[in-house]
Amino acid sequence: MIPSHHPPDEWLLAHIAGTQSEGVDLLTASHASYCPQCRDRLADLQDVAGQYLSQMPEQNVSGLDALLANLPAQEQPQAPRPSRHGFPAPLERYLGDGDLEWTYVAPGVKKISLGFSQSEMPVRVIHLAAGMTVPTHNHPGLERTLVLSGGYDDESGTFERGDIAVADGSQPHHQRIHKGAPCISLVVADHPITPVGIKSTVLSWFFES
Amino acid sequence: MVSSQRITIGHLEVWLSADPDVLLKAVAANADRAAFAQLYAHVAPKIKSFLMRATRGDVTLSDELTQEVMLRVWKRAPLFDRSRGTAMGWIYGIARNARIDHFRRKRPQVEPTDPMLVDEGPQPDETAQLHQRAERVRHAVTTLPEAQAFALQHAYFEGRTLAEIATATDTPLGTVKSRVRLAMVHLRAALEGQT
Ligand SMILES: [Zn+2]
Repeated sequence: MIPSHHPPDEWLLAHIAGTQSEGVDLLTASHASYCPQCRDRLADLQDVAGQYLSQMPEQNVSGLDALLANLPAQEQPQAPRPSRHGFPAPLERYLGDGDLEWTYVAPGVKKISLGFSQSEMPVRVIHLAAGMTVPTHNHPGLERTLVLSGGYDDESGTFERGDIAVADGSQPHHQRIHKGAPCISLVVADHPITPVGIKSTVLSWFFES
Repeated sequence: MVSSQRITIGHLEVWLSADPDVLLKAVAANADRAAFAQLYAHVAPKIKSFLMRATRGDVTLSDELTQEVMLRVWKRAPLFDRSRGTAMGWIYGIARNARIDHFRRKRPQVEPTDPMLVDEGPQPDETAQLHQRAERVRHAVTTLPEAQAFALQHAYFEGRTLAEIATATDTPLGTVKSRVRLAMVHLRAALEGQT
């Protein structure tokens, strides 16, 4: 099944240009595992960069002899490692080889915080139980989601494996998780999330990083 | 296009071709040092030019990174898969990564051998088209409107985000975004089915 919600163009360009934050790059690269269409677009952007590179003016270089004197052995293609947890390879690299270590957050909700440097946005894998509803909430910045398994509906549509959702903080939203299987997603937020109204305590988990 | 363009003069092997796709293939298949030397002569001066832009004119750092890039090109050449793009695109990616690594950031990458990869089903026989991809890319770039090309180049070579490009060029962010979007539509149309 090919995803129906894709990353914005500027994420793709920023991925190829190397100007993206690590968290959003991880979302983009993981989406690409699910999406032949975006892989094609990334390949276009990279080849166009290569074409511009070949049109660059030339600067003097003098390192060839030094390189030739010390050429190391070349790397050879390796068989790909099987997916340890059934997630895309770019994400698997952050999860390690052990069993997943979930942190309990609230009934039906658990999370794994990924190890990013402090300056980065919080990046988490979130597990939401089948059939549950996440209370209405909004947030000061963007909340970017890649669905890894299961699915949900919210005000802007239906999201399933491979789909990217970008929720703008100005519009409160609430998610209805599809029945039958939990929804696991990768979430990159700018800031902690603010529940709307004092009744929503379930989202206090977003406050702790 | 001829692909065996290697001649021997005395005990010197010389490549006549300056086509990076041809040269990289030889470096990959036979660890061909003469092909590597020719590839170096052809692309290292351009890579240094890119790095001079990316480092805002730091000559020492650009020289150092250019060497690092060419070393990686040699080492990783056997991993280059020409069914996924052009040699120059691949080399650009290596130069970009060397720049990012220099600033010590992790960089999640698309992984074409991901066991979880979802494919579109059987692919058409692309072998014949692959040879034309570099030519197609060249054409797509020459037909790109100037303002759109300018936005892409700023991102590629100066490592600027779209917001930074908007500020640097005194252009509304919305305009920069829409130029990028139009550029990508144009490129996709020009390269459709040519990946
Ligand atoms: Zn996509």
